[in-house]
Amino acid sequence: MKVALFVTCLVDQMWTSIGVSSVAVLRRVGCEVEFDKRQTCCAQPAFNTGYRDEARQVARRFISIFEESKADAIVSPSGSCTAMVHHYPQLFAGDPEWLPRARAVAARTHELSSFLVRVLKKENVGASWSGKLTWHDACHGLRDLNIKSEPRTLIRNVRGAEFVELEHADACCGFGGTFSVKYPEISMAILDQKIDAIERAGVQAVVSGDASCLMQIGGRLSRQGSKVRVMHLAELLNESSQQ
Amino acid sequence: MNHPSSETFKENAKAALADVQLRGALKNATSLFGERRKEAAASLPNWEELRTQARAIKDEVLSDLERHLKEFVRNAESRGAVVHRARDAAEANSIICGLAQERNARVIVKSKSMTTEETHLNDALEAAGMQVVETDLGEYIIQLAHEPPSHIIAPAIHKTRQQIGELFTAELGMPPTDDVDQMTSTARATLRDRFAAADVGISGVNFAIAETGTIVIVENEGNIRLTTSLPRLHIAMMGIEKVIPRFADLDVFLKLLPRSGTGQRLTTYQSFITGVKSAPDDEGPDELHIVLLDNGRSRMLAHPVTRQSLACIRCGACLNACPVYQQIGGHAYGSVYPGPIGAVITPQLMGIQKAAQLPFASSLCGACRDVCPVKIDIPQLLLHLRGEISQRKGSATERLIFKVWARVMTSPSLYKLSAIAGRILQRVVPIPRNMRKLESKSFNDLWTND
Amino acid sequence: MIYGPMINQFKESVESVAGHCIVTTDVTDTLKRILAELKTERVASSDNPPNAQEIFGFDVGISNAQAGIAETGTLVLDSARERHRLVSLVPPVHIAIIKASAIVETLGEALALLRNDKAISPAITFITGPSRTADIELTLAIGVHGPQQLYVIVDRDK
Repeated sequence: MKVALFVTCLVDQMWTSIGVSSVAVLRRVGCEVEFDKRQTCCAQPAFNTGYRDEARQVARRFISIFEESKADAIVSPSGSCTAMVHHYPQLFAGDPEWLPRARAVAARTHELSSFLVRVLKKENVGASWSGKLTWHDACHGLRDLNIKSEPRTLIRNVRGAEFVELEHADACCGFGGTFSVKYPEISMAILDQKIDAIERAGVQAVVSGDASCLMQIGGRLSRQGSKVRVMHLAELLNESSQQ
Repeated sequence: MNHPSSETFKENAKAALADVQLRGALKNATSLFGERRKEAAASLPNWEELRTQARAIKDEVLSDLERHLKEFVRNAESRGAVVHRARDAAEANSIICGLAQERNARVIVKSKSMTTEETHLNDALEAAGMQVVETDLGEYIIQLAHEPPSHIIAPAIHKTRQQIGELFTAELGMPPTDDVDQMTSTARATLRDRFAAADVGISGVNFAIAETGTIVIVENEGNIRLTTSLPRLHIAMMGIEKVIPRFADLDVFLKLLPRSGTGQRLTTYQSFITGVKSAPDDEGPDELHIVLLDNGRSRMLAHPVTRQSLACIRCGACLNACPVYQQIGGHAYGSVYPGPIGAVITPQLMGIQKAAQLPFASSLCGACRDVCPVKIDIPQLLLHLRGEISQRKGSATERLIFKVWARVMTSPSLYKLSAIAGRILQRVVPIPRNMRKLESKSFNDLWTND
Repeated sequence: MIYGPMINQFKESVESVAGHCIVTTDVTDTLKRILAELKTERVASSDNPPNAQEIFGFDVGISNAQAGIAETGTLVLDSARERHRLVSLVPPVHIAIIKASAIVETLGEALALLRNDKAISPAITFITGPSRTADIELTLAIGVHGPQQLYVIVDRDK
């Protein structure tokens, strides 16, 4: 199984270990991973802020790059970026040239946990990590891609990890991209609820599938001096007792 | 009446966030409503099917609204109702004021109607010298307090029992108490004589059945039944999108609406009113006038994307599910319609200029779409409106930023260069609180084709 | 189950919304007992309903229900068949008498029944329990503008 990695601009620049872990995990389950160095962004920031032309510009670049790949699948460690790619057909509705190309690329693009469990049928990737942890459902992954049971299955199979379900695991963390820039006070108020729930859960780590949520949550936890760490699912799955 | 404006949404939201008591009230209300809705939905094994059916019925109507409206009008008029079509708020208010004045009405009782709040009907009636009394308990409370509603279903959700008790003592002479049953009895007693004295009763409409000309109104308190049974004239105001094709369709909507709104299987009362009474000495009003309000709805109907906003059955479920609404409540939106659906229809009803902030005040989490009984894709509508606003009213700076951004994101060399620039910049300029620092080497830099 | 499943479900549903439900073969006697408990003489009946001014002077209103819905404990009142709009609404206590055979199971069936009339009645009312509100701090208060108490007498016609 050959996989083309879409690492996302956020991970590329600010959280490389998510990318490194994703590659390691995919290789561990038998995938060959290729990485096209021309890639940049999925266009979500522009799309979400209403700048459709600019979004299309960047989306066309994404499509052009990835349609060249002979990989069986395009895999990304981000629910929101994957969901954005799945929105490409909407972005190019009525465009006879780009719509079929958008559809083709969207159909091959998967979020990491969904790819592991639904496509590769791998529920145990041989990871181990001791401690109590919980899962935050990132909104786009949950609601646009229906990713709910897959990460939980993967986490439950991490040897040594004690999983507890977070109260209102599916409540938004308040990031919302440009929303947190335009309405920081509301964003923080929403985040307060998530942090309260995490504290009540008494866990050592919060795991999620989207770096943006992890930055939102992790930023607050570290500012509070909390000992709770944030981990991307890929990072957790890359943990083993040897490390 | 103190109406906060949607143009100052950001400031309104900040003020709401600082109001500790409001936030507590909102938390209790939205979580309770949310839990009840969830249980009620779970108790119906065919819930998802019902949602699909409801949306299909709405789509059927909206694809040919005029035909359905004409059918409704024809059937209602054949049973003695008089139907008026009002292009806008001013026309609706003028029609209703005229009807009341022609009959020398002095006391008017009203049951809860979002549409009449949309047109500010009460202000118009009062300006014409008539006394208007809101009879829904929540609406009565905010009328006494001179405040706008903060929630579609429970308008006084932002007030504590202590505040309401004090209000009743001050305005109604009630002996001081914060006991809910006592306050309810006070309201009942006070309003009873208004019902008895009323010349005109004004109500809203939940569903208008094209096939039979019937208007259907649902409630828990009994004030709608009193408003529509006692006075000689009953005026019902409805948005044109409230029409549904067949009487049998009620089976779908009466299952979805109460469960979505309050978690009840059925509200206490449903009134099905078709025209006027058969004989003059029968019970009930002598006259029924129905006002069909457009006020921008035809404009929404015309656009294939925004059309689905008109499917809304005003249940309030999206408000309770929304992380933004849960924190700031309804007043901040500066509109009769707050929350997710409000963020979508307010710019369309009031104009993009007045409500340009609202579609951006969302994290696009999609919780609203999950709970909407008629499956309105609110995030899709918000994105559409963001597109409209950014194109027409967007700040020049922001437009430039995204133009540059697109340029950078389509050129690997510019992308690399900006990263390098960013790494230098972050040594002097603090990064936003919810972001991380750019790493000294990107994943791309680290990747070697091994 | 003491009664048939439909009556049982109806009774449970009425009680679940704070209504009283008595299943009987002797309506007259049951009515007498309820009125004795309520200790009032100011009783209005849909046989001879008071007008809109007079109705406020009564403590109890008695009417029939033309149909009932078992799954929700709902009474269906059809104003074309009986003058009970005010009698079932204004007095603080409403006593409704319904024939067991008039109870259907679902909302859909009730709607179909009503639709099958050649002309839909001018005013149909569905009643599910006594009036209520939760507008003050979401605290449930029974008895607002409509009746504060609802008695449903199910007449098991033999």
